[in-house]
Amino acid sequence: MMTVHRRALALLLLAAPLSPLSLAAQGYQAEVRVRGDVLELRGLVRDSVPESSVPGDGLQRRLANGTIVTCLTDDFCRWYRAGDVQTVTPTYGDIRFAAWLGVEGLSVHSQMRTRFLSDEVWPKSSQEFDLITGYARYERAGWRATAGRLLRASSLGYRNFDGGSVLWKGLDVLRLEAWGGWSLYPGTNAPRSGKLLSENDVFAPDKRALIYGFEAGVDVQRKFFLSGLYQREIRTDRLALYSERIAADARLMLPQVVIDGSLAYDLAYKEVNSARLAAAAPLPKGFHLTLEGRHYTPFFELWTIWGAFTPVGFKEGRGLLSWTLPGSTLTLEVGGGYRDYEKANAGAELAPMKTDGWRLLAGGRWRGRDWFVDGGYRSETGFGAARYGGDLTVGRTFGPDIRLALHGTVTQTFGEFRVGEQVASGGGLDFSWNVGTFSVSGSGGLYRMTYDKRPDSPDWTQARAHLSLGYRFGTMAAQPRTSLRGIGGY
Amino acid sequence: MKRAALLASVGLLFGVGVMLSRPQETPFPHARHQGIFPTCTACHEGIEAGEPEQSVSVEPTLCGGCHDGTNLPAVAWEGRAEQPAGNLKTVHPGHPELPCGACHQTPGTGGEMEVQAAAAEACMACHAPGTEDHQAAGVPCAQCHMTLSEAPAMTAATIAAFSAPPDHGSADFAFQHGAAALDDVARCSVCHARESCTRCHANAAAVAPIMALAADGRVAEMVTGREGSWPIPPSHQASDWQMTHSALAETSPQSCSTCHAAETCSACHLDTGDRVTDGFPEAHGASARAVPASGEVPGHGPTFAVAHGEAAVAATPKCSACHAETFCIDCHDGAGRPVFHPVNFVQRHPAEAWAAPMECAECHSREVFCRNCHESQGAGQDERTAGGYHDADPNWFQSHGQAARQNLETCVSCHQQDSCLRCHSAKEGFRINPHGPDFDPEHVREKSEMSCGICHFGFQLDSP
Repeated sequence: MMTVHRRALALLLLAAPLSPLSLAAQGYQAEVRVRGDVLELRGLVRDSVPESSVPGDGLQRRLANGTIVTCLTDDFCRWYRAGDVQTVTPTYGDIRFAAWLGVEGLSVHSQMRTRFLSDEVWPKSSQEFDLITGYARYERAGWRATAGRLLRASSLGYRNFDGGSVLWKGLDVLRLEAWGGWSLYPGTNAPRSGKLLSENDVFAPDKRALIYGFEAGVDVQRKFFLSGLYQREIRTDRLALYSERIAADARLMLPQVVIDGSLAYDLAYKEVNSARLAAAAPLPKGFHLTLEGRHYTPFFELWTIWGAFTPVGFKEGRGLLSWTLPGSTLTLEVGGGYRDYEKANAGAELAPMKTDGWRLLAGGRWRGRDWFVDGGYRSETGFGAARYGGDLTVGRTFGPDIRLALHGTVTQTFGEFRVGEQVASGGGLDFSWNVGTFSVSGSGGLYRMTYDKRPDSPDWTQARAHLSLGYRFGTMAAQPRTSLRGIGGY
Repeated sequence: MKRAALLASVGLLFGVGVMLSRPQETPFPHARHQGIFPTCTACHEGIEAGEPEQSVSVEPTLCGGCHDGTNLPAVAWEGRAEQPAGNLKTVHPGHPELPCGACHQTPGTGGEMEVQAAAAEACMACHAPGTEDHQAAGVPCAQCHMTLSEAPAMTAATIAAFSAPPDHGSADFAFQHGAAALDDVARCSVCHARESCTRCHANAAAVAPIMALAADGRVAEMVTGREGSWPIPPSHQASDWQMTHSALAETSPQSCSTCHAAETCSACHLDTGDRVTDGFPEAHGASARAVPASGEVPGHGPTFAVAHGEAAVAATPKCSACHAETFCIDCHDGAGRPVFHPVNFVQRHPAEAWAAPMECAECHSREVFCRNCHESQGAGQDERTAGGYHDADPNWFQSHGQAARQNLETCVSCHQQDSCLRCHSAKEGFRINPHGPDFDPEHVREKSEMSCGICHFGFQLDSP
C-alpha cells in the first residue's frame, strides 16, 4: 500500500512542473533525466567442506586445488568462491525544477528521484521514491529564509533535513546562519528510523533525529574567509545524541597562492575527524603546484558502537605538480602522497600490518580543436588493499555538442586482506550528444577479469553499458546538462 | 619582427594588387591623336563638373566621326569598361583648377597627349602632407578611394591584398580601433565591410559603426572559416580577474560583449539560466563566433573536484554563479556517475576505500550503500565469525584489531554491529574490551548513554 502511495506521489511530483500553476509562474526551469545501467557483477558465495575431509591442521589449510580455507568453527572449513555472473539494471528517473513565483525573491526548488527496474542487488533499490530536496526560498539583499527539505554542505559533510534555515548577510563582512529540523541519515535522504537503515543494521535507531546548528562566517574583501559552525543531532525523544560536532573553514586568497584550511571535530568522542591545510599556487612557465597536509579519522554517529572502538587516524602529506605548455592545452601532472597511521594499540599483533601507505599518480591531457587525449597512471599502496593501473582515453568532439571517445584501462587490484590479485583490463566507447535542450549520453565496454592464486575464481568477461537521456524545458531552459568532459562513474 | 615581415608582405601584395586592378581593356591611343584634339574636354566634355562615370570616358561611336571607313579606317575600339576594377575615385569635379596633366601625364613625357590613367602616386603629391606614407593617420582615405561597396568590380583577391595602415599594427590597435571607427567609419569602409567586424564582434548588430558598413559578399567569402582574433585586454590579465569580472559584466555587459557571447558565459556559468547572460548576444554562425571559454574554470585548480569544501563554504569563487544545487547533488548523492570516479570503479574501489583519499562517507552511507551492495555480492553475510574471507593472513582473528582501528570504515561497509559484539560485548561472548587507550567512557555516556547500552546492557546473542 505504501508503495502504491509513493508511486502516486512520485507521478504527481513528476507532473508538477507541467501544471498550470508552474507554467504561469514568473519563470521556471526543469529537467527530466532518465538513466539506466546494465552491469554484470560476479559476487562471492560462501562454501564449506567438513573439516575431516581437509588435510592438515591449523586454522588455515589448503584444498587439493590450492584453495585456502579457514577451519574455525562447527567442524567445517569455509571459503568464498566466485558465484554466478549476475546482470543488474539500476535505473533512475530524476526530475529537477526551480520556479520563480512572481514575488520578488521567492522561489521553489526540488529534486526527486525514482528507482524503477532496479535490481535487489543494487544499493537502495528498495527506495522507489527519493525526495532529495524540495524547498521554498525567500531571498532578499540582506537575508534569506528557506523551508522544506534542504540540503546543506559543510566541513561536517553533506546533510539534508526537513526544516528551515535563516541566513543573514546584511554586512558584507559577516554572515550568520541558523538551521534546524528533522535530520535525515547522510547518503539516504531518509530518516534514521526508516526501513532503509533497519534493513541493513540490526541496531538501527528507532527514533528520528532533530538537527540544529548555527554558523558564523567572516569575509574580508573576498580575500580572506573564516567560518565556524556548531551542529547537533539528537533523538526526538531527547534520550541521547546522535552527533555533536563543530567545524571551521578558512580560505586565504593571496595574489599568487590560495591557502585552504578546514577542521571537523567530534565533541562526543573528542576526536579530530579531519584537519586539512592546503596551498595551491601557479608557478612560472606554466607550472601549478598544490601541496596539502591532512589528518583524517573517520567519524561515527553515537547510535553505533564504532566510535567506542577508538578508531585511529592517519596523517597524510600529498602534492600535485602540473604543467601546462604555455599557449597550448597540453597539461602533464605528477603527484603523490604518503600517509602514516597512528599507533593502533590493538593488542596482539601476530602479523603486524603496514602502518603507512603511498600514492603516486602521473598523467596528462591534451585537447586540440577536435581531438583530445587523456591518460594517466595511478598506484595506491597501503594496508588492506592496493591498486596499480592506468587509463587512456582518446576522443573527438564534433562541434560543441557531440563527443565520442574510446577508453581503455588495465588495473591490478589486491584487495581486502585476500590472497591473490585481480587484473581488470578492457575498454569501451562513450559518447554524449546535446540536441537543443535534449541530451543523450551513453557508454559501453567489456572488461576481462583475471585472477591469480584464486582457483575458485575463474576468469570472466564483464559487460557494462550506460544510457542517459535528459530534457530541459521551461522559460529559462539553458543548455543541456550532459557533460562533454567524459564519463566516469561506477 | 614577424609583424613587420607580415606588413611588408601584405604591402607588396597590395602594390601588385593595385597594379593588377587597373583597367585591363585596350586603352585609347592618346599618343597617336596628338595634335588632333587641342583640349582634353573636346572629347571628355563636361568632365570637370559632371558625373565622373558618365564623362570620364568617351563613347566609341565618337570615333566614327573620323574613322568612318572612308576617310579613315574604321576602328574597333570598344571604349572603357563600365566599372573601374580598382577603388580609386575619379575626382575631376573637385579639381577644376588643376591641368589634366598634373595627374594624367605619363611619367617622363611632356607631350600633350602622352597621358595615362591617374596613379595613386599622383594624388600623393598633394594629399600626403608631411608624410611619405599615404596610409598615415590623418590622411582621409575616402577622399581618393571608393568604399568597397562602391567598387563592386574589385576582386576578393585584390581586397585581400590591401596593406594595413601603420596604425593598425600598433600593439593596442585592437583596443583603440573602436573609437577610431566612431570618429571616421568612412575610413574603415575603404577596406572593410560589415563581415570584417562580425568575425570578432559578438555584438556587431548593436554597434552603430559596424552596421553602418555595407555587407559585402567578397569579404564574407574571405572571412569564412577564419577564427576571430581576440587579444587579451590588460584588465583580464589581473590575477583576480576571474573573481572580479562579474562586477563589470553586470554593470556594463556591452563592453564584454564586444568579444564575448552568452555562450562564453554559460561555458562556466553552467546552470544559472538567463541571469548571468542577460545583455549578452548569442553567438551565431562561423563569422560571428565569440571568444570561447578558456577551458580553465576560474578559481578551480587541478585538485578542485575532490577538494573544494573550503571554497564552497567561503563561496570564493561563488558556486551559485555557475552551479545550481543540482550540480552538487549529481556527485554527492551517489547515484550519478561522477567523473572523478574512473570508469569501472566497482572493480577497483577497494584500494581507495582503504586509503581514503576522499571521504567516501561524504556521499555514501556505509550502512546502506556500501553494506547493502557488499551483502548482495556475498561479502557481508551472517555468521561472519566463521571466517574464510580474509584469507591472506592465517592469524586474521588475532590481528584484525589493528586493521579495524586503522580503517574501521572499511569493516563497517560489510559487518553489522552484531558481528563484532559476538566477541566485543561486555555482556556476552568473549567480552573483549574494544576501547582504545584514549577512550573516555564518562564523556561518551554524557552524550549518549544509549551507545554504552548496546554493549553493556542490551545485546543478546541470537545464535550459539
